[in-house]
Amino acid sequence: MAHSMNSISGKTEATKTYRRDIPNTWWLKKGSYFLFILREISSVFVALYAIFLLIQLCALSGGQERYESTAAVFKSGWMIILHVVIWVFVMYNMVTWFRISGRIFGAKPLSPVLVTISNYIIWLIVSIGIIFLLLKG
Amino acid sequence: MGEEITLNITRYNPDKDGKYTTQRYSIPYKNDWSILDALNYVKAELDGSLTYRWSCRMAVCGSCGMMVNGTPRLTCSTYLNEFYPKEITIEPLANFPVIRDLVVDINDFMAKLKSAKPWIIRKNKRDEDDTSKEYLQTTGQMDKYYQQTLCINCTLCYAACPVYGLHPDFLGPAVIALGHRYNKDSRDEGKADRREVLASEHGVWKCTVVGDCTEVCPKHVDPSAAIQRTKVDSAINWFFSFLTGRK
Repeated sequence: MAHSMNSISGKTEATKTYRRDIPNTWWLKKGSYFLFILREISSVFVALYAIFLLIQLCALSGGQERYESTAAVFKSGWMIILHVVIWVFVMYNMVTWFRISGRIFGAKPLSPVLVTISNYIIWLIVSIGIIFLLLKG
Repeated sequence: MGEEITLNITRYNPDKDGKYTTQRYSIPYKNDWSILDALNYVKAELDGSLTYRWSCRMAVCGSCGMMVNGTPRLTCSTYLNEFYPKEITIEPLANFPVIRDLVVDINDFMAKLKSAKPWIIRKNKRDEDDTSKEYLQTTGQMDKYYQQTLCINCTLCYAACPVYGLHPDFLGPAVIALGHRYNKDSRDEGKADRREVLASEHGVWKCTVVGDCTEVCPKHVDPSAAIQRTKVDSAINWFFSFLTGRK
């Protein structure tokens, strides 16, 4: 109900309004809504990756035998496919948040593009550092 | 017979059966007509009962916002030539209760706007009444809030926000952007007063960063960025109040 003033009588009257229903498939109506839901879903894969990492760390602390049996599971075909899927979602999550961080912190004297590019540069340096450490080991 | 274009317009009469319908109107196509011009033609020449809001015709008053082919737009600055020869669907702004045809009820928005206290607050109340006092600002200080001063309260951002549609108790983009505008004003001392509203359960933390509010804003206010910056301010304030024990 909305209330309005009757210009003739001067009385306040209630008007019957209607509110349109939002279908459960609202996020399929627009590309930006779909990408938003995809970003929300991608956080599940980020959490999954963190859990896998914890499982491997726990196995490592449990001794060589336990670690090797866990590593064997992680080297199986379905696990590699799952990790590729996780990687795609984690990358998407990262790209969207790098873009958003530009929007948040990109006020003068910084610009949104500068903040986003800085994120990518830091990510690249850290990644190269980790790859270097892995290859060295 | 010149060129024509078809408008599909949502009609709703609360005094009738309570259901909304879509009515088709074929009107002459004019290259320089805005959607608002087309609606004015329908009302003047075809159907005087068509109801919609408009005022300034130059994207300043923010009255003529409607859904044009599913996107919230100001109809005075959206032109037929963007769509011609395709049909155009014109609906009332999404996420608001509809009063009649293309007119929506924005009372909820107005109440929320007031709750965010979008005006300059001084700790010393006598400052607010003393008009002889000057509060000088540098351009750098003004830059911090200028973008949000451009908001015309057109509520297109509310129509674009699925969070507001699904959770009508959400304060919404424009209200938070305007609260942020005053928080960033060097003359203002009311940040703490606004915090209980802006950082409440229905405030900034309800925003899930869809970002469409910024995309549809006709004045490039960027409410999404204002909301995220208010989140950062709120988090920093919480952190320091946690460390120091002050409220």
